[in-house]
Amino acid sequence: MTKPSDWIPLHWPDESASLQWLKGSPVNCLVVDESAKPATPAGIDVVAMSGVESQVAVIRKTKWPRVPVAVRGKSRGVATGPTGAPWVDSNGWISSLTQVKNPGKPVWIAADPPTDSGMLRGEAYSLAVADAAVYGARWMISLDADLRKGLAAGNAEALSTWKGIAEATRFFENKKQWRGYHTVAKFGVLSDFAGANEYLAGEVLNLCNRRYLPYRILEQTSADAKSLEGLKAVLLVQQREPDTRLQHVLGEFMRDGGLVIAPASLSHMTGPMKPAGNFEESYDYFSHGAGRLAIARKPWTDPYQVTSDAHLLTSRKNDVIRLWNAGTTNARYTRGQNGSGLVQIVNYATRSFGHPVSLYVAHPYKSAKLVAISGQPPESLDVTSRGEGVEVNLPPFPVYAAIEFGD
Amino acid sequence: MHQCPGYTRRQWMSAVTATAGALTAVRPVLGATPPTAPVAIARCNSYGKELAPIMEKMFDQLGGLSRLVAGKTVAIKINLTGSPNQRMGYRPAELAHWTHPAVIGTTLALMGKAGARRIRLLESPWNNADPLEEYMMEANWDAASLLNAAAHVEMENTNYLGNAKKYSVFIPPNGGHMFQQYYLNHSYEDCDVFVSIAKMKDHATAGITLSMKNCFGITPCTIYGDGAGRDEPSIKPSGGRGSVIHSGSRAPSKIAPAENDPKGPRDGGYRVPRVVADLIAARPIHLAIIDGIESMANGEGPWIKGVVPVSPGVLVMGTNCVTTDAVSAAVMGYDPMADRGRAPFETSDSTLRLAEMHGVGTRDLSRIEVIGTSIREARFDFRARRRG
Repeated sequence: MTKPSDWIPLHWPDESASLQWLKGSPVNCLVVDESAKPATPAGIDVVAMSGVESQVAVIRKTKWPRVPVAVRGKSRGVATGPTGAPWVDSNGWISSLTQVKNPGKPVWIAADPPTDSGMLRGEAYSLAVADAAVYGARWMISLDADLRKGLAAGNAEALSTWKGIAEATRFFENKKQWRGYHTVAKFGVLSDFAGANEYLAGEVLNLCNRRYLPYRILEQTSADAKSLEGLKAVLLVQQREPDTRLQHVLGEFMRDGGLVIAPASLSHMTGPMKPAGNFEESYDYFSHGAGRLAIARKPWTDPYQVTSDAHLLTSRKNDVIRLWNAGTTNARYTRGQNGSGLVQIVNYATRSFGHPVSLYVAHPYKSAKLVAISGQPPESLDVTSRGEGVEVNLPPFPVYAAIEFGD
Repeated sequence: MHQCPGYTRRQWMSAVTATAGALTAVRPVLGATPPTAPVAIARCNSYGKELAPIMEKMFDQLGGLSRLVAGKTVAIKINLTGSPNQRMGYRPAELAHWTHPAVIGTTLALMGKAGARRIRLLESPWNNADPLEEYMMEANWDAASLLNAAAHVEMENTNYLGNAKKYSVFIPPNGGHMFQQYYLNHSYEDCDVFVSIAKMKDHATAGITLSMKNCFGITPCTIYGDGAGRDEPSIKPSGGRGSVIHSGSRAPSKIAPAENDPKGPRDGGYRVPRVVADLIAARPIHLAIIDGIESMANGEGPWIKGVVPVSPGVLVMGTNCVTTDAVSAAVMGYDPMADRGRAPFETSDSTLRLAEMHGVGTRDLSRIEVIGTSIREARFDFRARRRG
């Protein structure tokens, strides 16, 4: 039996079928409902859904990754967020958070395809694989009903779609080392991510991804001086006063030049700190050592506003990545032990853009190469010095692009 | 790929030499004959070292900067249209649709040297109230280098109330083509000298966008934007100016007067040029600078289909925005006397003519003195590039 950490899962509903088309694919674990006993090729573990959850952190509160369509009356269009940029449904933030809450445990995304779309295009499935894998999780592969029927009937289009899913899955399994890379961030979100703070803290993480603002997740019980190292700012999404230990940690962080951004309910945290101006009449600054505390003047109600203000309070001069013409993407920037950088870009539109994407990374890398799911050899990219970092121009890509940087 | 300069103040200052003479600001005069003023043209093929001496020479040709700015508070409207994370292909915004930071920085340094007391960079960035510095950084600009280009440089986002307690009221002559009054951010009032640094571009709605059309963006979207409050201005701007100004499908916030003729045309090609002419007559431009070194043809931003990069390699400056834009239009290969139906105004009215009607300046090339490079030598046919 394969170790749970190596399971590559496919969820199969309670229907009888031959799954011989799984042969040769990377899938090695079939997750079934209690009574189902489909005929599987040899070498595939068949496990009941109820037996999985003790060994794997399964996220059920998920979305099917995509750019959602908004229906207004008789018209349909791309849903947009407060900035006018397209909204995207992604599970990236909750994958990251679940890993922090379940250290060492594999994380699976349980997201089923929409039931009203017929057989999905292969790109939609590649997106589901990438949306989980980029953020360190695995998508528990789940096929739409038409695709399942097509596979059972040996339909060529269905088999081609399945081949694409298998290819994307295999690609990320072959890049397992990337999961060990750490997120490059100068901004942290500190919370218990539970109870009254759960919704706001989660939405902030989600919106940080939309703003290309990489973050470090700091759980209040485990946050310490080491976990804050290298950060410029910490957003405290916590309505109640931090305990004495955490107050000390944050005090030291500010003393050394860091910025702590806190809600109005924690205004008493200022204690004897000196007022140091304000930001846009929305936050009051208080100085502490070489750093500052920024206290919101009004209670936080709008996650977008909280995230946007936090980004500006941290300042874009601390951006570690920037992208152009990339409105329907999220991106994750990580770095390996050897110093190599990796930016993975996921395009939720599953189509190439009108204008091609450019990427800035705030590090003077010397080389860059584009790695694609297709298995083509990596393509070298020209690296252009820009400020303290570099820019690269990317060829069109429908779903996913990885750019590996070297010094 | 283009290297964005990250200048220190010392570098800006060393890039410029002594400035002599004085510019003479032109005041709009109402009357039968619109005023004229000379316009300087120069070839300039890059934003590198050649830029500062060329700009300095052009200011000298117009009479020098010091009499215009010495001891004065200068407000400069720059053009950062669209979103900072949008590009035409791989080209950074400043090589396509934004005024280039080197042109802005050189202007700042020269104005500082000419004795400007305070210089404020102004823009109403699309759909937000972010500090202007942050907006620039999103496009990968080094905002600090601009703030350090001269003493006492500041920036303000004018897309909302900003640092003031109330909006400033501006009244165009003759009751205005479109509105009797315009409510703007205080920065457009709290200055002695107003400068428009524009990009030389075609414009999908107004035909061309130069120093006058650049000022379309001085209207705050909290009042004139899609998300403006019905009664009171919104606190923060959202959306563009499509519904209030382009299509007239809604009125501005009630703090500002409704349009003069609520039953008038709803066509952007009619409305936008009129609003622009009103604005520059109500808030006169003392110095117009057109960055035509690198630009785009067939539209004003990457969101317009069919835009193409162009390298006209030219700078145009003048103290009258109508004469400066008329000469710039001629440099682009257009006839500034053209009216609706003729290029570049096939689908719009001519802002040049509407501004002339307000008595701001003449568009008649026979009445405009051109200094430096001639129009013929500088001509870069935008329409030919558009045709490919």
